[in-house]
Amino acid sequence: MHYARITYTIVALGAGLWCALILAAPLLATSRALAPVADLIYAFFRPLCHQLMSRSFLVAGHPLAVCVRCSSVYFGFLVGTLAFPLLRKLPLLRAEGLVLLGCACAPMALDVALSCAGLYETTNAMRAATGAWFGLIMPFVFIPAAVEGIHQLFLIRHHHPIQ
Amino acid sequence: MNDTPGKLMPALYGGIIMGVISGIPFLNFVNCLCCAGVMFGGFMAVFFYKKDLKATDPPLTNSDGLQLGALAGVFGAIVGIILTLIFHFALGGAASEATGGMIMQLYDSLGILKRMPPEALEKMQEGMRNQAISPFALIIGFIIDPLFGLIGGVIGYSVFKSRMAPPAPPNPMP
Repeated sequence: MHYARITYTIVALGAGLWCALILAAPLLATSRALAPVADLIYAFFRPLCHQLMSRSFLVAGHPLAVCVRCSSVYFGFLVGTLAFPLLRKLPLLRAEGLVLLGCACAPMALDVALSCAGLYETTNAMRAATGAWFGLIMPFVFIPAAVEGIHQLFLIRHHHPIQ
Repeated sequence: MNDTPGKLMPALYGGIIMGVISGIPFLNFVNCLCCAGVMFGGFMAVFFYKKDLKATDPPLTNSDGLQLGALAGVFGAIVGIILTLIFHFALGGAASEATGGMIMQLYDSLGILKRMPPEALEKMQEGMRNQAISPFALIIGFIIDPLFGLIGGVIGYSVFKSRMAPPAPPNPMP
């Protein structure tokens, strides 16, 4: 069985569905009949994000289901996942997972830390840029790890069951 | 034959950390940063598992990270629900207000309150006033916690794996 292909497809479909929900919330909110569904989607994402109006992208006059930074992370992740088969052989993107993770986190962590420390005031553009950078790189950490993990899981499941 | 240590206890410890972060009012705002609190629980589950590994045991694998993270997420959702219910029914609004007051004081002393947009402050105060619990919100925990716990587990593996990791599958991608 092609574990790699199946794992990649599940991750891509999952990321697509996640982003579709984020985008669907403001679109559904414009219709009076579908507004309860939009409310349900907003409620689903509430534990994940502060959902502040001033820090959210607006679509049809309604905010996305998550803030600028979160939506940039998730949409960046989707784009990175779709680009993964084309870009995975680039030497830069084949670095050790921990190194890639550091590169992905550094700009966003710096933005949050400096902003929280009051050293500079971050903007929605900066939140979007650092979030998208994080999201774009994460598939190159997560997908190989998930593929390897699923492969090992099916390979060793009979020898080392969860105890 | 070398037996790896059990995964249930490390996952439970990670789940407790996750549940405490998610279940205590105001502390759960950490999760507004891409579910950082939930991912931290998955990460810590891998840390506790790695701590139990002996030199003679097989090395930590990626599948261990996935399993520990997802399992910690399930435990985290259960612990989070229990804590939320305790705060809601047993202690009532007073506990939430006291916790909220403490966190507000901490934010104020750190100067965060002054830099916080009025909209965010309003949302926090609204959260303190609104004590309603919906079953939907509790169920969401069972979707989100294992999902983000799993990501935390993968990150934990990347951090704690030994240099002599088992070889990757021959064809890692489509």
